[in-house]
Amino acid sequence: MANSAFSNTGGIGTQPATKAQQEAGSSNAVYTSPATQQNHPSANKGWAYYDTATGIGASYNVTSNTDNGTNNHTITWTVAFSSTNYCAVACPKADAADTAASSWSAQIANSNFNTTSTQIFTTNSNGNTSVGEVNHTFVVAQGAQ
Amino acid sequence: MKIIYTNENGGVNLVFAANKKDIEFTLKSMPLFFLEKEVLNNRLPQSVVDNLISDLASELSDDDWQAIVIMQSVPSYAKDFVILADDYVLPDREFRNAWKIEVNTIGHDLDKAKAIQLERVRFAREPKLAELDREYMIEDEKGVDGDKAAVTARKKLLRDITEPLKALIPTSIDDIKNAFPLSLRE
Repeated sequence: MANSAFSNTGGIGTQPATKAQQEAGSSNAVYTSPATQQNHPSANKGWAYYDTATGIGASYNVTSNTDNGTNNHTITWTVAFSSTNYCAVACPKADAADTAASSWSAQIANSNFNTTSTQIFTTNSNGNTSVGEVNHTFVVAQGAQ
Repeated sequence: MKIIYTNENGGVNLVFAANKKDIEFTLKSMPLFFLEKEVLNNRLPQSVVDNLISDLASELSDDDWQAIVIMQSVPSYAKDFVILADDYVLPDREFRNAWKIEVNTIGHDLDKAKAIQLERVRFAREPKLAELDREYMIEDEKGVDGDKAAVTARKKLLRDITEPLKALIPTSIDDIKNAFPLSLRE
């Protein structure tokens, strides 16, 4: 029996999806265009790779990375999220020998989790944030804008 | 582009701007509705959106790039923000949390740096004290043959290892860097 999601296509529409249609993610009557694809809930809305000492290596929808202090950074989104009901994930990158980051973890701050920015703490397994620093961190975020 | 400002706790925040081309790409890929919303929220200059509407091939100017970064990343309470010169070399991060703004550069708050160094000395001392506690128990279990006094003397030396740093009146960050006890360096 054919999968209902595929048996119901009726061909590809000739009109691009509007923001609302793309966010709803259910229409088979319109097509996804480059201008609206990012409105789909599954699309990544922003990401960055940053070096603690030298700043942002590469990014999308990121205006800046603010170094607030040791193991404490804030990513500012160029276009904000529509609410704080979005998902942000951060992860330290291992060093060249694939060892240094093994005992580090990243946390998304609760108190400074805003529509316009996301604060990230990195901590090592000994719990002492004044000893050592993560060199590189990845962050991605998804949600409605 | 890098910007520094003094935060509410007296420390220094350092803003690393995203690459101008990356911000330009983001703006050009966003629906106009989103950009207009950011203008209303005072996060984007109207002129940037107007330029994009009139000519999608237009490039983000350095002034617009700077304006966006300041509007979005420098909080309103930061009255003393400084745009660092492109060729300015940041200080090393050993005492990052003791940074302070000195004219148009970054210097160190020596009292904060000293407190950070003291914490590091105490942290490095911890496992050695734990090891001496273990040795003390072993000597204690030996009874009359045990040499608890020797272990006690070593523990006192370790406890007092912070005293020179506590007494130090630093005149530079190097004074504090050099005050880390040699016996605790690995």
